[in-house]
Amino acid sequence: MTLDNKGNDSARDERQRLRDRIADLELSLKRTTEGLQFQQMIMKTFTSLALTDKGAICDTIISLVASHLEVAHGGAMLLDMESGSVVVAGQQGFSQPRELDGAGAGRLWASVMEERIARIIPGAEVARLWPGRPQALAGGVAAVAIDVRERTVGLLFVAQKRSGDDFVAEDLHFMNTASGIAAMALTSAEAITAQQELFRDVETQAAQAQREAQEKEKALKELDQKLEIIGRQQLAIQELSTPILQLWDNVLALPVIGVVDSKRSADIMERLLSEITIKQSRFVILDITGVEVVDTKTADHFIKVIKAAELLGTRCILTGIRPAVAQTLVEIGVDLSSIITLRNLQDGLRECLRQMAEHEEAARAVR
Amino acid sequence: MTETFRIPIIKLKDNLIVSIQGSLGDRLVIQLKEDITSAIERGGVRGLVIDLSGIDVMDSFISRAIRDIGLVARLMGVRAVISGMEPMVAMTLVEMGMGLESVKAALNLEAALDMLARDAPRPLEGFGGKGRG
Amino acid sequence: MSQLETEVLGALRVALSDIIAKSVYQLGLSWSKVDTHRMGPGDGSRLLAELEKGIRIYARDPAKRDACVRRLTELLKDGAAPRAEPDRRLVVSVDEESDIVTARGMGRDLCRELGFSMSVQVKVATAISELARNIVQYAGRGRITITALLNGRRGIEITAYDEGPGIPNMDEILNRKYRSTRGMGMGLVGTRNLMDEFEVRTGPREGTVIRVRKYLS
Ligand SMILES: Nc1ncnc2c1ncn2[C@@H]1O[C@H](COP(=O)(O)OP(=O)(O)OP(=O)(O)O)[C@@H](O)[C@H]1O
Ligand SMILES: [Mg+2]
Repeated sequence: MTLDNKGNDSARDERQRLRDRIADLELSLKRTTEGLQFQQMIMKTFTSLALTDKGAICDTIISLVASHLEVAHGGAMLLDMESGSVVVAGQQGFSQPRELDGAGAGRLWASVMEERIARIIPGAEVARLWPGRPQALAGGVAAVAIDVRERTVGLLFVAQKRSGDDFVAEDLHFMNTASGIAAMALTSAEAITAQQELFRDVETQAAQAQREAQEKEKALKELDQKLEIIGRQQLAIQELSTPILQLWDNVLALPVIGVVDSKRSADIMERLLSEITIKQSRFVILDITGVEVVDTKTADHFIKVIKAAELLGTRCILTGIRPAVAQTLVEIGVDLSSIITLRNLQDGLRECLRQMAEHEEAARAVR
Repeated sequence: MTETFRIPIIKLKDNLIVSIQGSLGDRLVIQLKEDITSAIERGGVRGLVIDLSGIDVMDSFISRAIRDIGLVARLMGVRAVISGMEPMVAMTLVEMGMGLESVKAALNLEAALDMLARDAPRPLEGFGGKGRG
Repeated sequence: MSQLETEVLGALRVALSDIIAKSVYQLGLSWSKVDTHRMGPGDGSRLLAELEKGIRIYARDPAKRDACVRRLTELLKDGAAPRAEPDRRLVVSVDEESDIVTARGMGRDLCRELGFSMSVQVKVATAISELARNIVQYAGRGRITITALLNGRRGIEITAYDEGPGIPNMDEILNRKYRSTRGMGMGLVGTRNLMDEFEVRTGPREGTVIRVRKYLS
């Protein structure tokens, strides 16, 4: 404001200079802000894409850079540091990546990578390093190395602004940032890959564990089934060896065969007594034709079965005592006098039927 | 509960029916004996059924109580029949070496009443497996 | 499954429920399938080991996982692992007639749990009934312990203690030369007949201890 009032030329020049300077600064500010916004966008893009493929990273970064700087040509390349040859490349404005490879190209790229920060390589220098350069690079390039963990792995370059303008300081600044972002993307790609591998590892481990658990469970189930089958078979054998037969209405028969130890006699007793209660049978015939030898204990068991059956209200008849068994019983002094004993199963059944008839008769007489 | 609770005695025609559930204590047994004898004393009783289907454990104390009731009843001219003993209880009694000599057994209440009906008119002839041989 | 292991699992479940539930689930198990009553000795420690594996794999939060594994290791070390299953013991004080029913009911339940047949369940319950009734009738009060024998020969042990007058004529009773005034005089003899082992220690000043055992096979 004070300048306005001065009214002299020098003052006007000064004013003009200041205006230009302000405009410059404003432009620069605008660019920087845009650049920053763009950087942020790139950052976001990369983090949200979580790219793991290096080619895809190169492609993405160069297309973002090219569109921001409004250039016709550019490239993002990862190089094999030993041979200087291009390993991965993303490019803009070239018909094929091969255009950027070769002996001369290698020299150009090497010179780019010698520098840590972005710089402008004029057309003449490009031509000197790479005589067979593509036409696109004739006007010079802006380029920067990409460093991952202090190691140069590749580079980023742009050429030919669409506006025809030269590259300026802000552009280089942006290039630097872009290279940083590329480096970050590459680093995180490695991390992501590692993480994914780890993840896959864990998943496979988990799947493995689950499979193992399932297999274990399956094996256990099979074992259980087998055990059950064995159990059933054992039960069947046990029952077969001393089947409880329903001979007649109200008459159960238990033919005992073989040796009767105390475990087996306990089983027999339990099953017979339960069966009597379930069937409500009034008679039980204990047939021991199949028993060849008895001792005091066996005889004792039979007497117990009979006594218990009688406590339930069932009449017990013992049949089929072999001569040798009868003799042993007498010799060891077992008293069977309280028990009805008959020759064989048929006689036993006949006795049951006779008693039932008598019972019927008595019942009729009462009525 | 033991003090106030009494085992109910049902009279059905000329028979008394007692159903013993769960566990018996001293007092309950004494009470039951008294109740049965006074019911018999009132007259018109020929038989007594003691239903044991509600007993899952029968120790020697309860066995003796039942045996005593049977003996007392018999002395008063009443036949006692037990019914519905659990198979495992029967097995246990036998294993212990105990019997219930004073009472006969029937499979269930119906069979017990049936048995009493048959036996009652001809008490001297003596029915039952043991006498028969 | 021993009581210890049941406790360990219970504590664990409460303390680290989400991780454990998840890993158990992922391992193809589920808590509802982990039937602690049907587990044999050692199953508990095997389950814990499985859990540890599961947790190592599934717990995403490393701090939580470490805490979990540490706790498991601690618990495993604390004896759930190779230690023999302790015998299970129930104690019933016997002061009145209703305690007789309680004691024999508990004995019967334990027998069932141990896998005794129906008839043996009733036999053991009857033996307990005899011993408990004798305590009430002759000593006034005492106690009965029921122990599941899990190490060595499996079975059940009943011990009846009282500080009553003692039994001076034990031999007479056991040889069936004794006529009881209150019962059939068959309680002790009957109990001896029902059980596999029968031991008495009695004296006028020390009361009576009767220990009986029944084995599973
Ligand atoms: N805990 C005890 N303390 C003191 N005396 C006892 C004890 N247990 C049993 N006795 C004595 O031993 C005797 C025999 O006991 P046992 O249980 O064999 O028969 P009971 O109790 O007399 O009759 P039952 O048990 O058949 O009803 C009893 O009469 C009693 O004198
Ligand atoms: Mg007794």
